Amino acid sequence: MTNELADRIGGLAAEVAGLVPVLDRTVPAPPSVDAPGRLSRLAGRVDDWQRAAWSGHVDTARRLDRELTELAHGVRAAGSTYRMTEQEQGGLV
Amino acid sequence: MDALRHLQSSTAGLLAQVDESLARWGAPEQHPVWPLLRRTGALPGDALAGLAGWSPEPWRQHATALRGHAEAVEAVGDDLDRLPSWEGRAGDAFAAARQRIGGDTVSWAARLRADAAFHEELADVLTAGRASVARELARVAGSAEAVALVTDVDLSAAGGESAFGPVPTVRAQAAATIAAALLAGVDTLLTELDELSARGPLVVETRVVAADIPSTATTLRVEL
Repeated sequence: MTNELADRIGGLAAEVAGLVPVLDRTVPAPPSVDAPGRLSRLAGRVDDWQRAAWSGHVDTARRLDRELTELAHGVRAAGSTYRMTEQEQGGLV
Repeated sequence: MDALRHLQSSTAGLLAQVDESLARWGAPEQHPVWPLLRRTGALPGDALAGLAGWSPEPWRQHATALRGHAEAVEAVGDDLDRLPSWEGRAGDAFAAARQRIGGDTVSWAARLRADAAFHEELADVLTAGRASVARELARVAGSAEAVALVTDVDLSAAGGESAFGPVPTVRAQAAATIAAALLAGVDTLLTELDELSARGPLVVETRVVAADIPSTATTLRVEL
């Protein structure tokens, strides 16, 4: 049961990890604004915000992938511990 | 090609004359074009060329992509919610970790959706602003001031008669009037975008409230 659970969590981690290349493919395109003054500064500011937000999303995807992977490992480890305990107690494995 | 691109391209001659006249002859003192030139930091021809090349489409496409990411993240959160739990210390630790990670997926999806909505807002404001400037450009392109600049004929000459070769002050007045009309639209758009950019995306945090509803997750009881 715990192995199946760990596999399912690992699958979720893989789904989140799969979002990183998807995010990479949707990196915001730089604005094509060729104008002096405020127009250009504003386009640059929006571009900076877009890139910071995008980078934050990539970081979140990586962190969530790591956390789910660790959770899957934790569940697998808990399952092993249960099985070892059962063996020690002479129960079925 | 949208209206602004089309008009900007077909009025390039007029816009060049406006810029040239402003650079060469300036504008009458106290003319409303002065504060607009200071605020936008660009001559009308340059400002309109920049605005014509600034398409809202990439923002809309990015918003669609962000909504897709949000759906994927929400699906992961839902799947995580449906995983079975079990009793015992390890089970409690798992439940706590699952709740924390589930909360992270909820807030991440909310941020993705907020960013998507923000991109749409930016695109909507830019689209409306471009349309407004295009309408103003169409209007000034057929104005007496435009005729004076492009043909060197002053339609406002005394007695309604045309006079060839308007004096610099007439040219300057015509260019300033056209520039003020166009830059007012650009200024309004930039102010709206500035305000939106300063505000940033509005993240709608979904609070998870514990309800007295039996969990759909199954509980694995491990007897030790």
